[in-house]
Amino acid sequence: MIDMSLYNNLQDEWKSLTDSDSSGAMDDLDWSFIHDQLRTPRASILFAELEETRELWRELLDMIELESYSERFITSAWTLKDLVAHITSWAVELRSQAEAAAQGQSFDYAIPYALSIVGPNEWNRIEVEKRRNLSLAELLQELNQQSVNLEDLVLELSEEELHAERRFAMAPNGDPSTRWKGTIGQIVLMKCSHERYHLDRIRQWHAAVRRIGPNSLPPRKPPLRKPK
Amino acid sequence: MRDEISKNSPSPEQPILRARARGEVSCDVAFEEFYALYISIVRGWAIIGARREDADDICQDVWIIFYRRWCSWRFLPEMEADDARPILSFLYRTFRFSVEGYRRKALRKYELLDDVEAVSVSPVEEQLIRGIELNRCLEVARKLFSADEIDILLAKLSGISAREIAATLAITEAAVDHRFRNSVARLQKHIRARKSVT
Repeated sequence: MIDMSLYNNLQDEWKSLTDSDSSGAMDDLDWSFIHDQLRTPRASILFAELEETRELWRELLDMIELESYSERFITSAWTLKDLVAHITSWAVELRSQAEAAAQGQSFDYAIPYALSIVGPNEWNRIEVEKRRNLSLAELLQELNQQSVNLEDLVLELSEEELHAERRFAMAPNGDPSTRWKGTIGQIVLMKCSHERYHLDRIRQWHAAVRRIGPNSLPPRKPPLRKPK
Repeated sequence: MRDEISKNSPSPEQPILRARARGEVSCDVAFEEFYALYISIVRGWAIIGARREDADDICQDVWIIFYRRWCSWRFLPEMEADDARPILSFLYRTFRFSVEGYRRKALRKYELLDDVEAVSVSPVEEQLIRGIELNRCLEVARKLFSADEIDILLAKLSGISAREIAATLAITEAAVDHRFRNSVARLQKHIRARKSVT
């Protein structure tokens, strides 16, 4: 049994600590510091964003047995495993670009975006194809490792290194010679946003599947035939 | 338990969330209301659950991350229950991630956690705390509890549900309850022992 008087003491102390009048919190409702930090988030913020994204993956894996949906089409072109391969490919690419940038390297390649479609369509297709032979578990493991490595990098770099503007390999306007200018901090946030977007989509897809029942799912992908 | 925020008490978040979901208030106005509602709680977490020199920065981190997320908040049906506190839960999780970042960064700097602790509380400060705050249970808990135990205590005191705490710490609700009871029992034993010495 918990000692109630002790717990009550703890509650009283907590109340007095968080009481707005006595903590002075009500005198300090100025949150303008937020706008100063939005463009140049410090390392601890980037780390927390990465940790949260990893946590969202853990939650998804606890909630859904992804393996059983692995070969189901989640978009007109991709199965769930393909989508995870896509997310992993970006995690690898962004971590690798961040590391190269931190070492002062420049990029001798570009990832041009298709103008008619959001994202680098061709690059996405090739990268998913490269990971065709990996299992879902292997992909998820690789994805997690990329986040861990990026967390280490973020904690290692100085604030100046995190926020120095550089040219990265992405070419959002489709022209390989005009590449995106940004910071390692923005690369980290880009990775987190990208994963959260797809995590949301997977959750929505799974909720829809549960609503309509497994029989209404798009067909499984036929198994790959081994070349003779 | 006396004064504990009841699991079924109406959440102060719901009117703000609903007004924002209906487009009646701007993102910034709603944010400001949450800031006023929870700034003292987040500050309390940082004071008790983090190294003193990191507390202000951690507090700021939590709000910066929340602001970024709030601008594109998804209003999920499970967050609409009258007693749901999705914002407090989000702030609590973010607080934990932020503390972990500072801890990891400090470990890199000092290599050993022992060194980190030695730097965070000087012997003089320790003596002062002993003298002034000997009977302050939260202060004793802060020094006695493990990071996870402090997390559970702060979450319980802030009215976060056992389900949310369990999900955040990736343990079962039963484990949350077990750890909480064990840590409070240890605190009780410790305080009694110190009182008998003094």
